[in-house]
Amino acid sequence: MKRAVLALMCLAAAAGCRSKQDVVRMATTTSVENSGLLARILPAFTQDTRVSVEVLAVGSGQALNLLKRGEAAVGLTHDPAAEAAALSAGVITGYRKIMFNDFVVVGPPADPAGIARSSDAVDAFARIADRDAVFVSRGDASGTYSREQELWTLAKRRPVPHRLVEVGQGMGGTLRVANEMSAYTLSDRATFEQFRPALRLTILYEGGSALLNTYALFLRPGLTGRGLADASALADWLTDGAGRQHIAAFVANGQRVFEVWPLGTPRGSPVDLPSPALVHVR
Amino acid sequence: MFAEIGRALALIVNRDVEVWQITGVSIAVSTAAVIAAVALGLPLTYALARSGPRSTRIGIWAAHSAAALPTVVVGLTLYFALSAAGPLGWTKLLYTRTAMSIGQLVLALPLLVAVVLGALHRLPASASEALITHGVTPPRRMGWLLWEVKSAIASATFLAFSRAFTELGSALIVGGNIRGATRTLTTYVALEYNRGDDARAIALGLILLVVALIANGLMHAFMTEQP
Repeated sequence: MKRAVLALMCLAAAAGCRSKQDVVRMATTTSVENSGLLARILPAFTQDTRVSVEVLAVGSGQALNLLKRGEAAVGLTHDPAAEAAALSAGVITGYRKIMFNDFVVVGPPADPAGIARSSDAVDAFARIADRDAVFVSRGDASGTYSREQELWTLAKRRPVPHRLVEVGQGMGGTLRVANEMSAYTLSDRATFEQFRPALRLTILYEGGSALLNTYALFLRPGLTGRGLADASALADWLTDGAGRQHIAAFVANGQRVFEVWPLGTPRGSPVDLPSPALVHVR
Repeated sequence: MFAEIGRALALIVNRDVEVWQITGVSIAVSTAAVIAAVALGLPLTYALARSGPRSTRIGIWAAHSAAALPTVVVGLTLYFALSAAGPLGWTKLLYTRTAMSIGQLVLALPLLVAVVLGALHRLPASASEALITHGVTPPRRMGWLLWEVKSAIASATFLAFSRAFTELGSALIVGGNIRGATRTLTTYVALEYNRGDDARAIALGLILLVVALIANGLMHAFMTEQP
């Protein structure tokens, strides 16, 4: 009995020590979370700094909202328009681009809308609408959904309502629904590669600046003391420190899915783009 | 927070089309599931009750165990069965309201069976014997005995409805939260949180709460009526 009490006390003490460890809460998008990147690289940060990271995976819109509400200290999103609005409203600070990849238009291998022969991404979207193909839309406030909306606008048409299926889910759930429906959808490359083995969908259109996908990192203003130190440590580790090598080394389904933002390239504004020569157009 | 609740109430009062469409889908899906649960559950329960005390006890135990099934496990199982590559893929039911009703049926049926079987089990054996000696035919005997436990059936029905109506795991996985089709109160509240439209999420949460409380109130009303 005595021994049991002692064991319990030791456990309690251990739990106590654990809760004393610094924790940074980071709000990010489902596309980053579903890719598996953070789960792979953050343990290295915790090992380097003894600061652990809690990741909240939500849409880009809610990630910005969580920083505004003070629920998270660090944000990582891919919605330049929403980020620009948040910057000018003063709800985020320390903005910098961290990495990029591209969106891909995926669909059933039979490609009923013939988008593989498109001249560009806008043309691919126009073909989907014109051929009455089914398109599964995120239907949330995510960076991917923002880009999809921009592409419909540029294509000057969109599918009729019952051909545009809004699922209000993260990227992974959206890919599953598109797969079951043999429908088209827009995905970030990282999440698609992560899910590809479970899907019959294939990449039908890729490349071009309209599909470039840039990720930015930022902090909540008004952080002080250790909260500020830990959040800054995480941000610096990811954008300038050892995190760069970890991001570059990350593979999903055997493919490199994120390109680290090139040093020396402007990165402080939502509209900044990596040098065009570095955008891999496959 | 208060401003958001105010906007939420405005959405309800102003009869926002999408809010009521989602509410309608929720009620329709769960009602279909509960009707199916009653239609299947009552004959099944009666058969179990008639098959002797030993199998009745096993039936009660099995129903209680099944009533504890996690909603996501039901959803996941149904997802693999109904997905295009699964054994029931040919039914093309995945991401339909029918699939959601089936998932809720699986969740609701054990609750109904457990409650009604317990009530039948508590009926004195003389009730059934009296009917037999009076030469009442088996199908009418079933009607008589189930009528004896009608308040238990009524409370079990509302309990089953609450379980079906408030579950999220199965509805999300087999329904897919498709706008205008399979979006229900629970899938909306959970997933539109990601969108950051707090007022809408709160409005639907309030409706969910009110309907669930009404069902629960009815269940208690019938339970206290029991002799």
